[in-house]
Amino acid sequence: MQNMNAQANQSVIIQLPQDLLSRFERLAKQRGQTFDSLALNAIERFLQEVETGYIASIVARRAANRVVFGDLAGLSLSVGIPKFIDLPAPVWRVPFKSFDGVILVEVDVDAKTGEVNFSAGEREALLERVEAHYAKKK
Amino acid sequence: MLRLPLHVPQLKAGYCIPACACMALSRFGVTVSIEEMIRVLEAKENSGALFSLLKRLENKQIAVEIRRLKDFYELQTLLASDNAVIVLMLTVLEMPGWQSDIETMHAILPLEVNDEMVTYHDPFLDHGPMKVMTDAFLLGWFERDNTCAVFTQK
Repeated sequence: MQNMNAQANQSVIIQLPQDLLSRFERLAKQRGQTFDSLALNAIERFLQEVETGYIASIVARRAANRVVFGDLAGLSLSVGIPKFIDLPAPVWRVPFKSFDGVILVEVDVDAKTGEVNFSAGEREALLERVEAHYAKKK
Repeated sequence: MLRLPLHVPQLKAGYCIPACACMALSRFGVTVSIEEMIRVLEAKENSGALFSLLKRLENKQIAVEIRRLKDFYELQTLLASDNAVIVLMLTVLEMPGWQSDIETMHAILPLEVNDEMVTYHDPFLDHGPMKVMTDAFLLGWFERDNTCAVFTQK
């Protein structure tokens, strides 16, 4: 019994602010997930990213979005889930797909600095590729 | 009291900004066809349009300002004060009508926002208005730095 109590005392209780808590609950409900799985996934991902010293995948994705979409809305391109590539220099590789699922470009974001490796020329070429992709389907 | 904007579908992929512009102007009683708006905003099918070009719609009666809002409450205040607001955001899976694996930069026209839900016109859909949870909306909007175009009667 004493052992069990000792174990219970070791558990960490994190008190989330009430507004954050209710947001998590609502999102979990809407996404058909349990509160615990959604929250633990988010916390686990966050800790992993803090421990490794690299920027979070979501930050990398946002940076890539800013460069790829720029000021455009309506570009028929969908951003995918970044993949961590360890070598030679660690990057988050962010895929951008057509709406029918074809990867049209992958953009590397430096996992340490958040710098997006995608030039203006590459962006121009991508916009042409998007146009050509949908023209082919007509 | 201004009128509630009518829903305008975007007709083809890439025309969300022109459709939103038509809806925003309809709030002030101004009717412009989407074809004309596509021309003015230089929108291209599947390539979209530049959000900043919405400034072109400014005239003697209506001011258009591209802004990054401080937070959700600022958007709530703007909508309550007879403005029309076009929001630039990343689509989120909770938005009705979108495939769950598509996350893209899109323009919508919010009509009413509160702590629970956002009521909005989505030009991607054939009809509106739709509703989405405020928390989900905020996730998508934050991805584009709370950017919006505010239309105000001068």
